[in-house]
Amino acid sequence: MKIVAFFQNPYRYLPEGFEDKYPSVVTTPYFSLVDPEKVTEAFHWHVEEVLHAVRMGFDGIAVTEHSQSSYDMAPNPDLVAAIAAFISQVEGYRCAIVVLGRALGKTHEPLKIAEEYAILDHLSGGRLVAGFPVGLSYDASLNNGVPPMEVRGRFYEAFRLVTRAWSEPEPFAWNGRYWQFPFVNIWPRPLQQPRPPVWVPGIGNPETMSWMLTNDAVFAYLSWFGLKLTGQRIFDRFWSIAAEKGVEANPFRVAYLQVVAVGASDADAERRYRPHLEYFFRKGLGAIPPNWLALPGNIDIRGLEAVVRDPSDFGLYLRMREASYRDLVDSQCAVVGGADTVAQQLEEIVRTHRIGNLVVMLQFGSMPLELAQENIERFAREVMPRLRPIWEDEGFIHHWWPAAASMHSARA
Amino acid sequence: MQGEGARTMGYMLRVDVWHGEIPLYTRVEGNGDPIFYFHPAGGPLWNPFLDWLAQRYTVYMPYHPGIHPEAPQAIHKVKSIEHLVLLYEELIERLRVRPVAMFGQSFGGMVACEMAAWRPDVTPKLVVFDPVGLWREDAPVLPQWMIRPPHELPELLFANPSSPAAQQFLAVPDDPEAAVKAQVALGWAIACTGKFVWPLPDKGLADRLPRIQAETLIVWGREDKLIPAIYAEEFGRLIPRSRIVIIENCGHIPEVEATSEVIRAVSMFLGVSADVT
Repeated sequence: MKIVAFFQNPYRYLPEGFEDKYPSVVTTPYFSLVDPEKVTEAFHWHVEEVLHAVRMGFDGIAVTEHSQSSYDMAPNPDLVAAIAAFISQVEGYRCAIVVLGRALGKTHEPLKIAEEYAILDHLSGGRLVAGFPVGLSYDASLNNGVPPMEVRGRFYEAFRLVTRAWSEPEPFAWNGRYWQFPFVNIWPRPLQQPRPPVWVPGIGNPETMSWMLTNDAVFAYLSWFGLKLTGQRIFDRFWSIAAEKGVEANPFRVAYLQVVAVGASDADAERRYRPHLEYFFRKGLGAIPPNWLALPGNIDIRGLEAVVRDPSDFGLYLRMREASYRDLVDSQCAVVGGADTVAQQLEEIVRTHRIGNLVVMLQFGSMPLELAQENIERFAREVMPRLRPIWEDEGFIHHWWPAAASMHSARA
Repeated sequence: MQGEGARTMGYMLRVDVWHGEIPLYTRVEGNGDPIFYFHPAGGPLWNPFLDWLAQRYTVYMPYHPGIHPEAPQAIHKVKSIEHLVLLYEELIERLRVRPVAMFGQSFGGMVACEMAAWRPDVTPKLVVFDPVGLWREDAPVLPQWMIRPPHELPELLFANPSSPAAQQFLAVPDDPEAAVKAQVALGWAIACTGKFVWPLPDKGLADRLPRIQAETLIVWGREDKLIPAIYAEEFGRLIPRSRIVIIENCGHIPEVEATSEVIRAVSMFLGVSADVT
């Protein structure tokens, strides 16, 4: 199994009661809420955390994109990914650089994304995993002005344009619905040809799942909604669509994100991580107005009807602003405990749902650098070795992993 | 939301426009000279004002593309507001009617203005209720009906959301299945109309309004929280032969919240009797 360490860049000092007054995104007042030095600190800590995971031997590190966000100050993840790509290359760590990723339904500049990903592939010596979310509704539409009804169409066109720009030998003209270019001939092109592996984050839309299977992209279930509440239906849905398409149930087709906290014991983990978990879920995700995850037109009418009838795909999300620590742990929004507890729960999760790529989020919310580093180390030393061998002897080939990223990211 | 209950026996027309590719559905009610009414973002909701209008005119209410349940995907074929105007222009020609007036509420008001601006020769009179489409830096208009959560809509739309007229307009069916369908229909209507007002409803209408030759009545609710009433002045300033009626103690939907005053203003404007027979 592949194990990737995923990092966001939250502002870590939002005040008590923040979530009762403000949304965490789009209109969150900046100057009145932040200490600029703490923002500088956040960016430095974020890079330190990513590099710590590189040096602790994770198979990959991952970052993602959010604009105008207090819970992930990452309007362009490529900048931090570039640091990780370069440092890992010169220090001899061959981890995958997973950008999970630039949102194609949100962008006004798809070619810039194609170009930046190509640069990252070279900086890393061919270790990029190209992640392409469709785009969170508020991020694409409120932050970046894309009409909700157009987000999906833009995603499809941008994907075709980017993948063609990466590999087409001759300059070509592009006359699309959303973009027109007289000459597309990007320099550089990715080292991995015809394209780096593509992972697409989603939260359960069956149309996206079908598209992922047709386009040979990994389904990255980035969910903070509580696996106990949503996992069965989401993964069942994916594997049954795969079966309908006659696609082999190769676990490496699926990635799954899990918030994880490892302590010296269960009690120790609860004590030390609890305030940061509550901060992350309440002040971060829980403070996104629910209707901003699905602005009118973002979901097709059939999906809209499905969600109106049954909003269970959203798990704990609708109550997240007031979620208790117990709620979060019981629903598996977070897996928390000593190494044994964590390893057991994760093993059960990945085996039950056939997950070949486990993406773990080890820094969250207000957690300071030191504790994040400890969590990274504990996970790497005490949990990761137990999970790595899963799927190893079952004959599946991982077609969605960069060739230059080694099996286990020890020093090359 | 309801708003059903025309007193006349109406029917639905379907015309496949744009080389037959795009089905347009139009609800037709009443008797008399033809009037076109362009509905707001929330969808093709009938209301008591339209009942009154249908007693004197044949009211044609085109369904914005995508809103009719038989063709929800039609919205993806419509590329821009200019394209929408061409579709409606073709519709009117194919129906072989010469409307004596164009009406529009809110989003529909913007559409009616565009129709009157693009084809000044076929629009003798224009009546708009709280139309979107202009921009003032000191009173920015965002598509709040798409951005705010649904439970805030009553406050946004009405000066008195608890009034009987507002309550009737907002009523959700008792039957759970009908309630689901109504919620989906409302969401999808806002989605389809929303394609043309995102991220801001200013799509250049200010440049085109001076082309309007129609006698124009601009009606506005003083307490409109979606589009402040000062926009009535803006529309009045740019539309050459226009007059403004501001209705006190009224929000964004005067024809629902202040039906009698609207009937009075419109009947005077059109030169017909206000009385309900």
